[in-house]
Amino acid sequence: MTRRLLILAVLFVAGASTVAVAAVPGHLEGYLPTVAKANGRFGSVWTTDVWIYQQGASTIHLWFNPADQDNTDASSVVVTLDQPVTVLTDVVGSTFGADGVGSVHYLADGPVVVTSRTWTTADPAGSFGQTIPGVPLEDAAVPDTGQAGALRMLVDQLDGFRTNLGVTNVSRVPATVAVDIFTADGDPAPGSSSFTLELPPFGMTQVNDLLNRLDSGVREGLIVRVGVTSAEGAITAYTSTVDNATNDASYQQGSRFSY
Amino acid sequence: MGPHADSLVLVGLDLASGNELWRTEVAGGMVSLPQFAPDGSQFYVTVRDVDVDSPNFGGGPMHQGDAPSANQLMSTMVVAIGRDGVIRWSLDLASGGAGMGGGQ
Repeated sequence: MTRRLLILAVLFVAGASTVAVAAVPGHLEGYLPTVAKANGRFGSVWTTDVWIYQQGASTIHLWFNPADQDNTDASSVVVTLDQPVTVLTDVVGSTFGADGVGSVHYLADGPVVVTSRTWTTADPAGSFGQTIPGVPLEDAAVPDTGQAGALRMLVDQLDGFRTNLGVTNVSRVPATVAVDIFTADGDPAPGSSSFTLELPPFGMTQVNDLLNRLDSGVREGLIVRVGVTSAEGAITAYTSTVDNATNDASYQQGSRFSY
Repeated sequence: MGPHADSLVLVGLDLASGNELWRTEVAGGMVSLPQFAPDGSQFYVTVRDVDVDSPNFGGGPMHQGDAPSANQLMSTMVVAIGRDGVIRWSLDLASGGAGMGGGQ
């Protein structure tokens, strides 16, 4: 293996110190929270393309985890990373020989940055798509981290748009997940704004048209909060808001206030 | 190759003269900027070493439930270094993903 050195200068001056260089590594393990080779609503047909940028990795294992099932026994597809960027067009169909909606779990032997585009054809031509970055495993929400450790996404309830919520269990144990929707002023949103999801190991689910659970109306700045309530488990979450007229989609990764 | 490194070389310089004071090599890639002790007597850097030859990683397909986690393929160390460039101590954080179910 080629030996690589990173040289960092540490500067000293009377009583003070500073540094000159920083390094930001990729990560070894993570998830694409949603991938697809599937028909959607309003005539959409979703496909996912993936880019893997390696920074010292030579091999990556990829698991396709179809939605709403235990994927413990899934077998990996091993991809050799023989150049800086490897492109997997239509990853669900071409790499895994599958179809449907799910997530992709990846584990590399060196740092990687993974990103993807999930897109649908447009009428009469072209496409609409959303960029979905790979989420490092360490960014997942875990139990016992309190309110600040739960994942948040901000969405609007508007006519002509639908918001889908995706939650991915990135652990090898079942996870119970609480979902709560709040108005912009922090009160529970009117309607069925709180519910629970049960996710099997390595399972993901997508709750379509999430805001249909609320009383009808127009509400801006809704807070979608997702947290693990079981003793074990770890999750990532996202929202995808889609224009019903065009199927133009925008993606939002759940984030938390503390770790 | 990108910025991932197998070793980190720290070079101490005299800011007034530019002269090199010392040079210290630490195994692993740097994952944090050096953090200095309040009195400036030493600093700390976090490094991560990836065991790319680990037999756990395997050569062929792996069942997801049996696959190692990233935490099992790498070690994370905090290293304390004095102003003279001498490593004072190091601590293996051995992060195990508590509460995530078997290291996942």
